[in-house]
Amino acid sequence: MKQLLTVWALAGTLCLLQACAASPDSRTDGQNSAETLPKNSPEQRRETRKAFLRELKNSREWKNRAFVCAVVPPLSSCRHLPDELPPDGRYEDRLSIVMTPNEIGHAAFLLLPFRRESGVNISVSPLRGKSTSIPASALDLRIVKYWYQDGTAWCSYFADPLQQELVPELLLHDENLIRVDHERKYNYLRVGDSWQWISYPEGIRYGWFNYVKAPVRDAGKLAAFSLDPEENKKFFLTVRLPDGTLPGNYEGTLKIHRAGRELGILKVALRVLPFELPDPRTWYDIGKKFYTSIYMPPLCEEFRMADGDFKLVEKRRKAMYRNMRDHNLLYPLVNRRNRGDLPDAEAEKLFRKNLEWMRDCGLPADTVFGGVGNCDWYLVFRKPEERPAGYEENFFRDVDRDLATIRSVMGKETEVYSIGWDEPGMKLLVGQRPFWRKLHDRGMKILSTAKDRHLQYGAYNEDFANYAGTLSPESARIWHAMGNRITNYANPHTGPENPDYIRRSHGMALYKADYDGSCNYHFLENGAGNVWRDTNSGFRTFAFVYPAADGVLDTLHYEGFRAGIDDIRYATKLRLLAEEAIARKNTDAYYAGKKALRFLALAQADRVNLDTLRMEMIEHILKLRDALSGTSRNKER
Amino acid sequence: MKHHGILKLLFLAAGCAGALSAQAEKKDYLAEIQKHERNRNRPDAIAECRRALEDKTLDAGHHYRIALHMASNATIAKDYELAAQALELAAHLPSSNRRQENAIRLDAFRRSSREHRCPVSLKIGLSLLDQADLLTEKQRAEFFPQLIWTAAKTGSHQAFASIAKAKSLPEENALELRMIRNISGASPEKAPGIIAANPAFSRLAPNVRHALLQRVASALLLLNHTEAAEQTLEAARKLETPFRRNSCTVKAQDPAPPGAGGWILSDAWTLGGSGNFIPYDQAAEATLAADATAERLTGKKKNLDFYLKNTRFHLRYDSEGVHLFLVSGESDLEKYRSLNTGAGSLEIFLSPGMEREDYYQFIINLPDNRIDCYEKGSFSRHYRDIRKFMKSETLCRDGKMGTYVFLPWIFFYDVLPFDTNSSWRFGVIRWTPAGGITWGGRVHELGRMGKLVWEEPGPVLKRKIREKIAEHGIAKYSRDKGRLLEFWNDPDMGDRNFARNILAPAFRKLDEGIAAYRSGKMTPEEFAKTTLPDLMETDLLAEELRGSHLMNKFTGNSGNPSSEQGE
Repeated sequence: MKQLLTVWALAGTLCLLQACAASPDSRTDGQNSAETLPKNSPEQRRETRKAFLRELKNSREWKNRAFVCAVVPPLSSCRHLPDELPPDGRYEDRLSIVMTPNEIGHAAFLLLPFRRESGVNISVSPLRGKSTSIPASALDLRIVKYWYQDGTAWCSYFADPLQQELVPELLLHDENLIRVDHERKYNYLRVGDSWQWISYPEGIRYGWFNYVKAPVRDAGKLAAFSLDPEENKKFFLTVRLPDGTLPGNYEGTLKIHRAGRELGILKVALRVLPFELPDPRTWYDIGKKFYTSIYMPPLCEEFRMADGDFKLVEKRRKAMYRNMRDHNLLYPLVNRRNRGDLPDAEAEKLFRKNLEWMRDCGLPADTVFGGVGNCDWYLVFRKPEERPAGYEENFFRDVDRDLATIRSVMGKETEVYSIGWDEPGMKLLVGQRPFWRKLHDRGMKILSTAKDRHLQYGAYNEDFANYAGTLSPESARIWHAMGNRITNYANPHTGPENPDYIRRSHGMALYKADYDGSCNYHFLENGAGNVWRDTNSGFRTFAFVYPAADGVLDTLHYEGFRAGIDDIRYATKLRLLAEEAIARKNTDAYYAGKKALRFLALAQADRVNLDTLRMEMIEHILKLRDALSGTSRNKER
Repeated sequence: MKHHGILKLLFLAAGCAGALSAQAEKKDYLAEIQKHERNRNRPDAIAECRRALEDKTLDAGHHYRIALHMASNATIAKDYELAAQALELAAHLPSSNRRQENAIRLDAFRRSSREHRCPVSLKIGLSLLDQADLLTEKQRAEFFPQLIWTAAKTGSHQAFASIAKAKSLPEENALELRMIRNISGASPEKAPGIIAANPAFSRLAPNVRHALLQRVASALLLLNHTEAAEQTLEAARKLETPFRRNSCTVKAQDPAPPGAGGWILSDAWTLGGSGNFIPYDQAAEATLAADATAERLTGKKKNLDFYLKNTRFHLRYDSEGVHLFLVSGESDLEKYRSLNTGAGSLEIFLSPGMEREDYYQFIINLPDNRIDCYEKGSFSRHYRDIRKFMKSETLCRDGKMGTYVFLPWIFFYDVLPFDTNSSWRFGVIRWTPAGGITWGGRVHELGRMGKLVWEEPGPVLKRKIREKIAEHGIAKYSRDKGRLLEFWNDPDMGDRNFARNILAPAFRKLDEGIAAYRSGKMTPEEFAKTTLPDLMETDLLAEELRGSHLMNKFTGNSGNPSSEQGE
């Protein structure tokens, strides 16, 4: 073991000498990491990687090794392309994770192979603490799958079908669920026993991909994988602590092996923090909840794809809702009852069941966004005398029925937000007034996509405004002045794979801009019908996840979203403790509280290193806990 | 006999009355159905149709009309199975004119197909085959390709056979079916040969051939003949006009004119520049309404020629950076100038490479020069905040707007074109009062953007560029270093352990690099590779070091284990 560690240390030194590792450690180790920083063309970067591995392989120490390992920030804004050296990689054998007991922790690393190997796998050991341990089952390793997506991949949700870019996106146990043809830049999806081409050009008409019934299945745990000297392989580790895990330091290993032969070992160092995270609250008012919502795939379509099989829909939806809860996505927009698309009794059953599934999977029942119709085109644009007799009465009878269903499942006190017409023009906004009034009469509230022009024609009747695009703290202040709330979408929509971008824009940047939450578009949608094909009528597939027969497949940027909301939970914890410390009549506690708040207030959410921000927040929280627990020796003021 | 005659009359009268009564009932059914239809009450209309169809007193003609009502209502209610049943019923009832029936059938086929109800859609479509000769030519041109696609989507070879037998099948679609059959029956590599060997195919116009091959490829893909589909698409691609990317050579001019005024006073105001703008695709322009994040002026393409002729740009670089000057003619300039708004905007895209590079997007509103930047990533060592570096101004003169944009080399220090040896992607879209015109494709279409080819600078200019970037880096670092050390050494606010043991050594290393560069021991090229990135990003460097330091501290990798140990 000791010998192995020495080899790893040597690898680190060699890598630092020859590669582009811009790691903080490398700097403190006295190596100038930037010495050979490849800032050149893709070809040159490829050559740099090859030269680096060639040189290492020719050295005595590395002659018989299978690979070198680079630890990378798990939600880095670098793409870590398989044929380049990772610009922010640290060549070491130790993965470090710091997390609270009610959070999901993560780490990532790359293997840079010296030779071709197949049938490789990784065994995870339990993590041992001083007096207790965390079972190996708490750790889940997945491969970060690289595939070809539209030309704007990593950056934008707009489509550019004319180019294809290789990007990391899917987190898979079985890397062979997707086959990638690098020469033609094509992706193939394994559907049952066959491969489906999912990179076909725009001229091809495919129609819908029935993702409910298609046998697309990932393995339950990390499956054997291959190593290719031409490509780095990236891994994503998540940790879900069992209930009752004690705070403290734990250590374990990841053993990389093939056919019983050990190829290398990585250490895992985990710190479980001695506090839990609260639900996120807003920056402008610590008493107000920060909501995490998203537009949802159409339930009726899924039901139809399932050929009316309730059990199949239930299985999928429950897996999806549990997954959403684990990713801090707690208030998905509730699908409306599909009148006209399904027979009435079936539509009612599906509507009610869906609410029950959400509730049973642990999504909060205090607030429901959606679920109830708020007006329709016919009501807004036809004068009463032009409408069929009883049309409006029927509409509101249905509203009352749906509201009653929601309250019977979620609770009498549930706050129900009806969703207004999407991105309404001003005529439509004005046209909705009488109907919104009737909803307010019924004790409901309104959420509407909005922009500053709504302040001229509406706003007084829009309880929650969902703004598109760039964040505007000025707009937030105006809505808050009315006691209304504001959330955000399309900054960006789901789709761009860069996890740091999503973590920031739907996390700390949103929080610090005084918004009340995220209500993005869309959890999974492709207007052209095949969610596996990237182009979608001018946009890319909107997806936080991809569909599998038994649930959903996570993506790197979806993990970014979870981390973004966890950042807000840490900030909330810090603020709650700071307020408590400030209220104490003790100067040390008072100062600790003020320092923590000062730090958070000064943090530039649009550019700060979010991993460092997290670490600093933890440092402040621990200091605040110390101050509050009376370890401070200062006298009371 | 007389009585017999009276009886006969009575029978006749009773018969007439009965007939009249039945007629009245029939009218009632129809009136009721139509009332529900007027009220958009499809379920009740369908229920009424069912009742009427079960009424044996109605004649076949009435049943036929009611069946059509039922099919129509079921189609609108999206109950396509019921619509198919009603149409099946109607098909077996006598009628002298089936045009309306066919219209309903076609509508049900279209709608069910649009809603991805392929099995029932196929059933309805196949039921129209016998009557397809009654469709107009335009309807047939839509119907048959759609039906073939639906057959492929459902994997129904039997349906292919039925379609092939249809009397009114257009020759082009018959050819399509033959190609699907022949290619799917052969090994994939034979697909190009099968296509080329077909004389009927060769006689078609290129655009028809292209569309046909795309349809064949779609069907092959749906039938899971993936390789054959790929081969067929390759054949289709050969019929496409190759895309020609706009290109612009960026020349050195040291110094370039400073500011919009400088450019206006130069020849560039009236001469030269890249001007091959084309109209923005109108259909694509309409879809931009769905982009809720940016506001763009769209128009009806009237007077677009004026804008096409009067829009161009110049690009130059010098030792300071990249200079872009856009000349935008405007016939109504005085109106917009007095309002300082309304003349549209210039939407600019820029990516410092042809692949693997993130891109920047910003919109300059005219003539007020208000700039909206749209980030396409999070700010990091490799993606920076363009607003902090860009300078821009718009001046109006001679019925034209001159917009100047300057981006310094310090913004691109790690992707200098003569280091990467790479061209850049660049796009300008001018949103005019008459609509959009573009040099480089649609918004966000990196694949169709123009190409900037960088003229290699001479050795003197290259050295000057490097020196200026280096001097900026050193000055910036000196400022940031002082601030950072002061903060982290602060006894109350900082962390002296971190400042002394981690930050200071990292800065010493950078100081050594600077000293080596200053003394000539390190070339500017070496300096740019080894030291400059950390000088330019000292704050980020300190954050990285700090994050790592705290992580080590928390996980017990710093020699100071935490107080808890799995307890």
